[in-house]
Amino acid sequence: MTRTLRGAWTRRRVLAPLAVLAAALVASLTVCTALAGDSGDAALVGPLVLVGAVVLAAPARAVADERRGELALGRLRGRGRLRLVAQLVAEPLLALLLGGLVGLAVGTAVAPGDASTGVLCLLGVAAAGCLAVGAVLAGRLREPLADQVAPLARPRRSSAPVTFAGLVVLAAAGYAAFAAHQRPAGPPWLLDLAPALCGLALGQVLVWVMQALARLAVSRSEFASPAVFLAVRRLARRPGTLAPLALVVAAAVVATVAATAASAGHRWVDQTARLGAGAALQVHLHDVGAAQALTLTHRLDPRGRWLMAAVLLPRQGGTRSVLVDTPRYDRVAGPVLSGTAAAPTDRLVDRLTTGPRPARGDLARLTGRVSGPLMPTAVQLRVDYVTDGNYVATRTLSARPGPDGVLQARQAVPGCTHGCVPTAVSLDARGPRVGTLSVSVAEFAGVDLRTTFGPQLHRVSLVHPPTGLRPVSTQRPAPVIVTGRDRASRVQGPDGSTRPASVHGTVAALPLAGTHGTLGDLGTALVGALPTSPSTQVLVLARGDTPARLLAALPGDPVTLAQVHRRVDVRSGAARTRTALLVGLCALLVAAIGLLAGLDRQRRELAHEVAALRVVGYPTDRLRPSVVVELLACGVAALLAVGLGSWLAVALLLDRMRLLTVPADAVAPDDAAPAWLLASGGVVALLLVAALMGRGRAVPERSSRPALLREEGVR
Amino acid sequence: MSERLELTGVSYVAAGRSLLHDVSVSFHPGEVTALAGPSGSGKTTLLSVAGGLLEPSSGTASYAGRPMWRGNGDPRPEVAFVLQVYGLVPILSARENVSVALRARGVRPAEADERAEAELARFHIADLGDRQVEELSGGQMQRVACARACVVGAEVLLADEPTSELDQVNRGLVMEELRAEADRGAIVVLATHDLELVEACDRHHVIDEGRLDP
Repeated sequence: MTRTLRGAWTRRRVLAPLAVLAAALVASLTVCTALAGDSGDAALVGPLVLVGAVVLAAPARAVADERRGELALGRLRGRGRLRLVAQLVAEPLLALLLGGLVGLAVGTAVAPGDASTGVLCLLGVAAAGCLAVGAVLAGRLREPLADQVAPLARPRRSSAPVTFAGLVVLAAAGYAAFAAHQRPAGPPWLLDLAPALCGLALGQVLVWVMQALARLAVSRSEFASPAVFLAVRRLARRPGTLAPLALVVAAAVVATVAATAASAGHRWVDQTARLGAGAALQVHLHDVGAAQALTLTHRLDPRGRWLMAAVLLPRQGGTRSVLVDTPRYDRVAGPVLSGTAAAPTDRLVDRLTTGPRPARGDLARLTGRVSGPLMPTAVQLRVDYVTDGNYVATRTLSARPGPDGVLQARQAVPGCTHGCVPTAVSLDARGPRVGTLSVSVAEFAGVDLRTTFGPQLHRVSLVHPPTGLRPVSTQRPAPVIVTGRDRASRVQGPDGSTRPASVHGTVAALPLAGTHGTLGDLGTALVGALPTSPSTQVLVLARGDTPARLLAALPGDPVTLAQVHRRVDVRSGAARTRTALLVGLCALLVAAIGLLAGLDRQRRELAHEVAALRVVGYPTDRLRPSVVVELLACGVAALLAVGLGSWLAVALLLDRMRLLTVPADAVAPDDAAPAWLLASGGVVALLLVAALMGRGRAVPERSSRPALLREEGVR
Repeated sequence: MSERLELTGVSYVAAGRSLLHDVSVSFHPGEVTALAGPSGSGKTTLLSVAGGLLEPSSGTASYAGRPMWRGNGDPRPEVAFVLQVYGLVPILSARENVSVALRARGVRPAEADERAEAELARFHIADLGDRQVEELSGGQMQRVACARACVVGAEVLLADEPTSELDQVNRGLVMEELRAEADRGAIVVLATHDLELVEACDRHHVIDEGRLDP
């Protein structure tokens, strides 16, 4: 144990990156697993596990390289391979456990929860790290001993297992993309892993392509400037130069896909909440009829600045009919629905208001003149209506014609103070029913019955007086706006009855109805309608800036847009997209930390190269541009690969990953990756390449003095 | 090329350890001079100070009256090295390693490649020109390093153990080429503990524990 501790302290420079990586991995896994568990999908951490497993290879290689001499000595002494590997793995295991414990403490502090999850993460990371170190050491054991004891390390070409692993990743990514498009789709864990597999595969392909291009460029850059001449050869001939690219690309693709998912999820929840709320505030009215709600809003807010009545009818065949007080739509609902799929409704609602409005008043009047050879003894006007208490009532006005045939009647109308709806009108005559009645006034609670119920009420034949007249507007198709998927031929009224509909516009989605619905004018629909059906939801929609006194006057508690937003967020499981984003960002962080482990070796190699060039007469200022060219090539390649890879992964996988639970009547999430997000992913990859690979190439002049080369053993 | 490479009262101390003590010596054009001595005696350090790779702690190293130390550890353009660990650029092929030395001195790439090819042939390794140097054996790399030093026609050629990895035939070949360099007027200094090589030189100095034996 003491020997292991002493050894670990001596090799702390190589073991430190492994410990830091273990800390980052365990902390990330602990936090992400806790969040993924909360959102009900533990498989979401899959990409982080995969990227973490690949990242571990870099510090494992560094540790194995550091122990190259000991490995050779052990072999020379005839030590068994297993014993040798086990002995050399002890120090990395110590580093992994120490780092993992720090990560566990950080992880449980950030996301307190079941400690056993964190411990499992720690043990998993330690085991994976040991496996990686052991595998690299076992690979080194297969090298010829003569090479291993030579003071000069030979360049190590990509081994068959590494190439095979690359091909396996490629095949796995292809299978994941294929499985995602099958019906039923592949297992959820495979779909969750798919972006990481695609990223790794793309990164691997990028490395192969860059290597092939660099080798091709070697023969074509014989006479190029020193910058290009050296950069091309460095890319083509130095093993491991391009390896970080694959990891950066993979992690950046995972992060970009996750960011796209989170952004799409956020936009979807926002839009769905706005469509579901219809306005900044919703007040559900119970035991209140539609007409009463309409007149209530008109009474409280006569100028229509803040309140709008609306009713929601039960779905029929998946379609929901919504009726709103359309003249107030722009003012009340417009601001909230702006930018949603229902935004075009603004321009169409004006076409929906066609007929008279519900009645409000307390008086009925009938004035007219009877003409004919025989006068009736009385003329009766009977009006059926739905009261503001949402029940059916009848009022009959009876008038006796005077000698000159003139008749007049007036009567109080109960149940219309807060709005009532005349549903039918009948006229009758007592006594001789000969001649005609010219009606000059037929008014019911402020409604001109002659306009509402048609021309039959202007000049009435007493021989066959009209009975059961229905409002004219109910005899015409109701104007409606429909969603793109619906071609409604009939539409529901607030009483639950249906009537023919005429479509006056089509939009992608409607407020309160989603993607399957119709929108009509409440006032128009109320005319002639029977009492509001109990299954109809009556609400008042209000603007966010509605005065408190108006809200207080409404018989119900307001539901805010934020509350609807939260409800949609919970029901759709949008937390999964945020967990996926955190997993993506953690993968990027872990990849960056993992790559730092290999920088020391890169810096040493470059210092040797620069010293060798300085000794033949190249000053450092003529050599620096070659590093810039190399970084530029890698950075641009990473930028393009991440942009293309993310676009491909988003197009192929995102809608199949089922991160959101989308109801059938909701708008579909916009899964297309915005160009700015793809570009951001690419830029992050470019910056990471510039920062990490650039750091590996930051060799100060004093560190690359040609005198370095005089020292034996400097490679 | 009638100027001398002169070290006057040179001492060099590194990490508190004195590696050279008050060394004064002159190297002459047209001569091959050997610096002989056991391992760790200070041969490599003396060559490094003489070539301007290290700044002497005291004393001066100069060529044609100009100090060899230029302030940053880069050698003067008149100087070429064959380093003990070759000092080849690992990412370049054998020919490119020779060619870059010419390119660094402003020779056009095409001409540099042509001359590099010829120089490799001079050391019997023309067939290895396209091989990356890390794929070569120690002896092959040593000859590439010699070719790189000789190709530039330097006025001062400092070679540290230039034949340590070579067989008898190639040792003779390298010595012959170094002699040719001296014959054209260059100052050639070899650090070696190979007595055969020492005997083949025009002059030799023995160094032990950082002091030149009189």
